[in-house]
Amino acid sequence: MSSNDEKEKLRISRRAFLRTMGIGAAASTAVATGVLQAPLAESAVPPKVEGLDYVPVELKVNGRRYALTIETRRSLADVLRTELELTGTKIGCNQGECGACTVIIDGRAMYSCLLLAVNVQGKNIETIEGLSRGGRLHPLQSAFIEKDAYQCGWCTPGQIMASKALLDKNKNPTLAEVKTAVSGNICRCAAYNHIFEAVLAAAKKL
Amino acid sequence: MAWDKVTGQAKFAYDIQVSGMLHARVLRSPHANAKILDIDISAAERLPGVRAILTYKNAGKQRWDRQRAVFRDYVRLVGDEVAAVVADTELIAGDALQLIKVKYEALPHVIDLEEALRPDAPKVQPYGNIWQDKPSIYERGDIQKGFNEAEVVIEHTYTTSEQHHACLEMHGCVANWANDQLTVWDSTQGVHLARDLLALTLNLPISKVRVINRHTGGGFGSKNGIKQYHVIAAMLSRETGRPVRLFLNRSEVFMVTSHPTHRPRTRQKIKAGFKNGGTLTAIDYEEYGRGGAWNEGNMRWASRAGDSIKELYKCPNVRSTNYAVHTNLSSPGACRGPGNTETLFALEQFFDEAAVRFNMDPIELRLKNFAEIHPLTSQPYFSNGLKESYEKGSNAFGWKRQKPGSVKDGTKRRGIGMGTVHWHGTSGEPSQALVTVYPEGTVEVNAGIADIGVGAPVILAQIAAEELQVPFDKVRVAYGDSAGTPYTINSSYGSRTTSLAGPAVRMAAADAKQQLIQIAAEVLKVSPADVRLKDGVFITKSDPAKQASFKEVTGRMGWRKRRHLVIGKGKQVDIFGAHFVEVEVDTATGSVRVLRAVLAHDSGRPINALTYESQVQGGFLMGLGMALFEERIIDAETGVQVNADYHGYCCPTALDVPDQVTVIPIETHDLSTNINAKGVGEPPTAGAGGAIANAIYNAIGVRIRDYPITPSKVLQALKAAG
Ligand code: FES
Ligand code: FES
Repeated sequence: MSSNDEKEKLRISRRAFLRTMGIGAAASTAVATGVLQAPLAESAVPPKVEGLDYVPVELKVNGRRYALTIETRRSLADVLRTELELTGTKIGCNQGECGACTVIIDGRAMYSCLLLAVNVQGKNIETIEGLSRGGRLHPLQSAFIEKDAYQCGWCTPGQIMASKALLDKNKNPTLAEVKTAVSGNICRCAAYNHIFEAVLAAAKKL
Repeated sequence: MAWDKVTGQAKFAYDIQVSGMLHARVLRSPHANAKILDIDISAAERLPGVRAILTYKNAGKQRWDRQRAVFRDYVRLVGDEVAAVVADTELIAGDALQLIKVKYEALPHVIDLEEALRPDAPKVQPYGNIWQDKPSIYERGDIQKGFNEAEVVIEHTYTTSEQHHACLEMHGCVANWANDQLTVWDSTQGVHLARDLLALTLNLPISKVRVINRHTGGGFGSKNGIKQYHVIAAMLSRETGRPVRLFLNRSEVFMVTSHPTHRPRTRQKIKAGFKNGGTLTAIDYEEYGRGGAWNEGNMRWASRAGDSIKELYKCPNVRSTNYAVHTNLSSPGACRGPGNTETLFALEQFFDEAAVRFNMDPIELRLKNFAEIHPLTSQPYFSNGLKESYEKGSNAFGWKRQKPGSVKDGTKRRGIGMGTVHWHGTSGEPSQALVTVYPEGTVEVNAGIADIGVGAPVILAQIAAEELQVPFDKVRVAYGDSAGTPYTINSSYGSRTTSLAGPAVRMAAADAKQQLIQIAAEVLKVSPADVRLKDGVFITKSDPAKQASFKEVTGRMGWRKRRHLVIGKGKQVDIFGAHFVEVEVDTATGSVRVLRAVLAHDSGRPINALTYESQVQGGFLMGLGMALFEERIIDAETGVQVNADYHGYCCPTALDVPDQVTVIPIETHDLSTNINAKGVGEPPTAGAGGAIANAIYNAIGVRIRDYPITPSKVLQALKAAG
């Protein structure tokens, strides 16, 4: 095989790769549907969309029970935010990369955008809104204020929930343990140093 | 404010739910250049829950700019808008997108910067691929004479990558066009600029547009003004008579952000002449920046680099030639420290290389070329803390370099490096603020600013508290709504929120104070000239025992509100600093860790020490990301960004933070404003790359001039060096 052939082969496989990613590749003439999603078969009748079945679910959030009827395909983050109007749980990517949607489920910090609401029934779900009551802040919350552990504040609820999951288990964490606990929570403002300080300070008060 | 953010009560535009709200999604082009032969929306329209679909066929003539309509029968980049669907839920709108059938005829395109410069490259604009068909050129002195006088000439070329703002709150808005009035809840850096541009684009009177935004989840330059999605959301709201929410998803944010989106990729050549002792005689600088497909103002961001070449060091003969190059991509935009960041990544490595050539300490070489007066205006600086930054920073750091490659431990090498920070703040535009003092002794500041994370509301409250000598917690700041605030700043860019809004607040507070003194004089039965405010008490100068408390005086106001409109003016200020870092390079894996950093910043007076430190640390880490791993990777074959997510595009995480980051404020006295603060949002990003690259050189003894300095580049460089 000449090196040109090889180049051509590489080129083709790369196109094929991009296509399987659901991103249309350029060809001389092409019929393509939207970028960033896989094309569906042509059809005059709208196809049945997966996850469109409505089901009753019962969620236990911050110690309260909520009975809802929702589409099976909806994520926990989405249901918390739009059905329960608990918008303290943020969404930064909606695909399990940034940690803005971190909540605590049965004691573990988890990305709520990656969980289907129907799958977390019967579990104990804690969100940022459950931390303070009647104007009394959780020590983590006061420490975040005291240390200026945020800038824009978008990642903050996720950082606090990830830290709370750590402190619930480990009352006296090292700096390295704090770093690891929030390593799945991107802070684009990079308030990290102050976040570490806040978590360590809160640990002392618990 | 702080309370909101830690309890989850803070409402951002992304969180807004208005009754009756519909949800929109945009269908985007999969082609980097194509004609649209046909669009069939019949299947999508039949999907239950779909309320309206806009395409070039039915959207009318609504323009985006002079060049193009919002929806057209052609696309120029992957991600260009093709259609928009509005439906009962976001998921249904997404389902509908998949049912739209589009027939494209793909046309030739060009993505790569170097390829776009070839004579046979596809022409992105009719005039060719150099924006406006010519470079922008700056010249002073006589460049040829400068090189004739030189005893040493050094030349190197550096490339920088496309850094993305990657703010955590995605871009978008909720638009409600009802009863002739357009209200937009927008994730923006400035409600007033967004309002003005919406009115202009939609041909509405400014009084009919209101933009609201309490908090913004990061901007870094990407949320100034308006983007196509604002206009589309407004069009869909008018079409349906309902509020419409349109937010981009994460990959749309990375790929288009509709459309100015990222820091441009640049290739920069620096050629400089020196005397044997290291004194500059000439700098010839040439920059090519990768731009986008449209002939639009944002192309300027591709040729913005070079200010620090002209202004940072003393040099009589300078030429800067900048080319913005069209490609079939979205335009670059302002990204934290635009221009200077790209330039300093190159220039500060170049100076390090020159210092090696002259066998000089890099700080010494910089001091040798220190500009005593401003090189552009030949006027004295309002303030210049650069020398002090070098001195205090290097002392705190313990600046002492070992021979490159000599500090070893197994496969690990350690090195230190430094780089200069340079930025200019405030543009001299008028700024307005209102200060109201209430009878109970509390104070309200009204300012048209956004909370983008720099702590501006807190800082403005501090300034008012300081001027009126009331406790900080007695001051409330109203902001984030174009309808309820004066024109304080059009948008928060250029590190100027504090330095522009601060003086206006101070003047408004001073005006209020004068009026309080009038009242105090009545209370004390003396002349106003005889009264002064000290520690919250009105004191008679001639008889200090005669006093009135703040509350006593404000209580005299009854319900007469005293509002004051004051106009304060800012001037351009020059901001300096120096970064010192230590890195560890693993020669087995090529990975680089920044171990510690000392960041000395001359930003005038840090009004709030805590938020100041946050800004410097955060800005430095964004620069660290750009130096070591951040880069939009675009497939040249298709024009698709292959890492349009946080897994592929790596932002610094908690594990990348140096163990020690020390911030040293250098407090210069800047005469240009009445608050003596110069701004600090952007400079720390600009100063990071050079220092880190120089430390890597000091660790391994090999230069890497292509940012980001990834493990594979380190390994390649080590291999090439043997
Ligand atoms: S929103 Fe869930 S991880 Fe980013
Ligand atoms: S505070 Fe802005 S992302 Fe963390």
